[in-house]
Amino acid sequence: MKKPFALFALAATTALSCLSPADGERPELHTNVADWREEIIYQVLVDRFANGDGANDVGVRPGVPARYHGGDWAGLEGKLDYIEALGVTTLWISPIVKNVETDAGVDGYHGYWAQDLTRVNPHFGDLAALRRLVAACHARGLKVIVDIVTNHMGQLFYYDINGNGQPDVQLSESGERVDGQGHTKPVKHLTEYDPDFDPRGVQARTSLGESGPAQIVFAYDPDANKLPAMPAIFQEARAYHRKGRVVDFEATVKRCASDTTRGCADCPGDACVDYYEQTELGDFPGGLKDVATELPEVRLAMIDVYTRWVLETDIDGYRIDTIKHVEHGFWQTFAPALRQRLRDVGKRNFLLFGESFDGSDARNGSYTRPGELDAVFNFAHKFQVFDDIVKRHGPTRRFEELWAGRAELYGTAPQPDGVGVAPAKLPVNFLDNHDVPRYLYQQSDTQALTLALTLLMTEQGIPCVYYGTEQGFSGGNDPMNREDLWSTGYATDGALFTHLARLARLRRGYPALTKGDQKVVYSTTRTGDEDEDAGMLAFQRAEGDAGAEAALVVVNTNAAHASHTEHQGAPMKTDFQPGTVLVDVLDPARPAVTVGAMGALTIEVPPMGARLFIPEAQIRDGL
Amino acid sequence: MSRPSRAAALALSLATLSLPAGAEQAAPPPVERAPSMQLVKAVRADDPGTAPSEWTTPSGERRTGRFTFGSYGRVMTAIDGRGRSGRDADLVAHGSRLDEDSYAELELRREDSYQLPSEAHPWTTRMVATLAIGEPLFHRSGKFDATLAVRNLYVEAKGLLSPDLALWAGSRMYRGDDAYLLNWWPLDNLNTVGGGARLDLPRSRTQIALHAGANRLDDPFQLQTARRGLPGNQLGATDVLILDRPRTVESLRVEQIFGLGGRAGVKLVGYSELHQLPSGQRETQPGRYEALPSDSGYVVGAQVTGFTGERDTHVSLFFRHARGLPAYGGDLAVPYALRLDETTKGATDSVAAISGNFEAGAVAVQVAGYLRSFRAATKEKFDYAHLDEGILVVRPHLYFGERAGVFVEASYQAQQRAALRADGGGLMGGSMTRFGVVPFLSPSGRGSYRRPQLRAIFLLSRRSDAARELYATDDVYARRNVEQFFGLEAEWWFNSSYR
Repeated sequence: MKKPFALFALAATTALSCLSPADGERPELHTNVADWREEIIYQVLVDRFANGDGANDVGVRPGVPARYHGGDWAGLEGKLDYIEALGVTTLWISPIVKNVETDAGVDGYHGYWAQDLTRVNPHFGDLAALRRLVAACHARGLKVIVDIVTNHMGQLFYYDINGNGQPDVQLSESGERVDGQGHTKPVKHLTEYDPDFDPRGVQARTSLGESGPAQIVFAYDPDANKLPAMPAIFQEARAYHRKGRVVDFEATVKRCASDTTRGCADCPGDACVDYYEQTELGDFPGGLKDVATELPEVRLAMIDVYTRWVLETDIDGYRIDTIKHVEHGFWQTFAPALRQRLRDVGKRNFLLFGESFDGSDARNGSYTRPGELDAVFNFAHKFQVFDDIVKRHGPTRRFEELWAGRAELYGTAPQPDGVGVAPAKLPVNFLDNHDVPRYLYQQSDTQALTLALTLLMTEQGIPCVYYGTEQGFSGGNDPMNREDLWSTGYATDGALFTHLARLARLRRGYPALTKGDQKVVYSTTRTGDEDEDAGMLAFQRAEGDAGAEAALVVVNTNAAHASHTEHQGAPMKTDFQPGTVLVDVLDPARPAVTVGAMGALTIEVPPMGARLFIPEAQIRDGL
Repeated sequence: MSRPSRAAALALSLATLSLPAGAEQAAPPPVERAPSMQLVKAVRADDPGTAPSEWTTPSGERRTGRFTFGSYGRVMTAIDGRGRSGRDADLVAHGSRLDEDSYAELELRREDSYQLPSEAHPWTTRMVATLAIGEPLFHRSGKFDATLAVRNLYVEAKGLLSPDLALWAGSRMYRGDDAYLLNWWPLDNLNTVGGGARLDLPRSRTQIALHAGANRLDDPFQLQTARRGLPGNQLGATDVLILDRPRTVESLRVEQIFGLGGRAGVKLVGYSELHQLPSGQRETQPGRYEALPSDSGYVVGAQVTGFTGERDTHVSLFFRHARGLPAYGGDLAVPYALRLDETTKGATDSVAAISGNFEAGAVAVQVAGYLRSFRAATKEKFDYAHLDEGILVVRPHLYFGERAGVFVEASYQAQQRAALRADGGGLMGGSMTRFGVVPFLSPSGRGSYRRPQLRAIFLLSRRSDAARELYATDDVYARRNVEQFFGLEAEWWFNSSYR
């Protein structure tokens, strides 16, 4: 009997040995990024990018916007040629951890409904597939950023408001009834999955009135992957705030600056601040349960799991979701601890950048305080520049004002053990993403997009391009802005693709566009048809860490007529030496211009046009 | 669920055993040297089975084999006095079979014998497959569907050590004698997947049967599955068994027949069962488990049957006492009203029953009845589950010629439950009196157990006021005292294995 068993074991061992050992082993860790300013981020929603493995197409519903479509890490790995051709350098992939499978008919294909932070989402592949993707990217010089969420978990429990042990969705008022004063009561929609915010915590109640904090009941539905959350701390009620859903993102209450759990009357000697109580403590709409990130055990769990994913895959950074819904104290613990752990294992320059979905630069910049994040998404810039100025042709002076404020509102020193660049110089700029309508939504003319891309790829910071922008996708709000890229055939000859690819080459080829400081040298408040400089904006990229390299970007955001950088005989003043010959590298055939006395330069730009000047002496061939 | 009548076969087999030596030679070639009750029935000359083939293999082995088909069935359609569907009106657990639903069994059987020249006696085998069909029938519901069950699926073999020893294994209706009028087996009626042995000693007219089997009912008392995520971080979920505790049952049946001269005799039966249920656990809500202790029980019982050997005349008395698990009925019953520790300890079920038939000339009388006392395991003295009940049914027949007749059926039944009536005026319970007239055709001749029969049935039943309280609000039985039942029925049996 022993001989057949031995033969079987030999055969099995031989078969298993066909697997690459590297697939199952932790990779060696490397610091793969020298300077994040040199990177161009390409945001990928994995489920929608490419399907490379049919085995994980379980329950996919292609064509249904809010369901899984089948994209996976293997598919992404198979399309790295396409990504390289586009010229981007860093992939930001959607969350990798296991999610609630489906809720209310919508799937967790996007990845923001975490159930188990310790395991990969099998819809996208296994850990080996993720490792292969990261390794393949690194082999091509591409970097990988993974999207993570610390603010909330998925729809893992309901509030048993009426204490009947089942999740209810009901109307709590009839709408027809008249109270003692003759007023009709409005119909109030009450769902135990996602009740409205209550600062006391969601209250249980009966027909007799409130009866104290509602119990939460964790769901158990293996088919929907509503299973006990991991790490185990997330199986405890205390790991969540249990205050219900945010209903007003702007609502504030007065709190002591040193302790936002106390009202100002309790701290007469302390500063009194506006505290976004709902935003920080409320569930994210959709029933996404807000994590009690102030608990030391929760913080430690987050640090542990997100350190582990780096160790398991050698990824290069985290994009962090919904950071403004988490208290600063968490970031001041999480970020330094993560950096320290990675530094201890030889991994440096690990980028931590967050999403503060807010138009306020003051609020967004606050998350780059010392000890917090390396960078944040430049939402203020998206709204005020790409939307208001480029798309809606508003005054370009706003651009100048916005950038002028960064030094005050963002961190001006690199984070300790961070990426070595001050947050103020490292905004992650973007036109659109998976949470907002595509830039082309309701605007089929690609002129504004083309100009916006030029601006994005030449200004200071890290440009971030949402997948499909290069293909002219134009979907509206979520989920219509999450189209299948495979529907395009991955064409690389379209105008937007080639334009973006060219901009990427130029950005990577001229260090001034990556490492140079930014100085606005021309802006205007004029936007009228008769204004000679309407829509004109110009900024230099020089100095900083760019050495002698320099660049000048001049754009005209006016759609009606050509404008120039001169008003009433006063030309734009640049820092270039008089006589410097500048070549428009976007159109090298155009005659070069020469800087006049005192750096004066009048540049005419056609409507919605752009010019990118590089000193003739610095021109590099082949770009 | 009904089963083919045992009583008819009983009388038949008893008569056959009394055949003079050699009489069976007139029948088709026997499949065994010393016929058991079952096989004697199978080879009777008037059975519709296919005559066996007989051949000798090149090695000299003598073989016989045949396929046979058998069946029991009844198909009924009926309306009540107000045009609604006719419906079983019995209060007690085992009432008159006249108003029971349609039911049929289709049995396929393969019988073989093998004997080498060197062997003193042949080996015989019997493979039985019985498919049962219940309501609703397609022509009633309009749904092209059927309620099917596999009742028998077993093989029995004889030849090991003795031609009188039968060994079997498989899924089997395993039962003794019935009370035909009540469609009930008062002493022994197991539905088992298992195996057993039976020793028939025809000369001493002794039969000893041992059996062991197991079931795992699809009920939370024995089985619970729960959804769990797939291993290895695969997508999807699967069912896993949380509670899985089969009930094991062992039975012993000893039967002895004493001759009283001629064809008459007395049959004595001693019977017992042991039931065991292992401990287990079930999930009451995700992550919370409830321990279920082990459980057990037993049955002891006896039967005395006297028979004349003439025209199926006999009378049987049954006594059965069950405690614990089997107190709730047969092995397919799910216990209820348990003790707080979720066991059946203390539950008892005691039954005394009678069944008989008398035939003479153009007259026949059948009778059946029982008294039963059931106490559930709960310690509560007053519980709806505790009950006492009984019924007596008398069915006289009068034949007009050889192939037609009429019978009347009179019955009285009563039940009392250990629950107070709504008005507090005593215990719940009630009674029902019934009278029926049933003209019939019996193409196979006179006899209470001759089938097929075609019947026209009229029943008039009157339940007491108190009995109406045993039915749910708005059930018509809760609203009226008198029921009329007009039915047409066909009932048949032939060549089916009754045990």
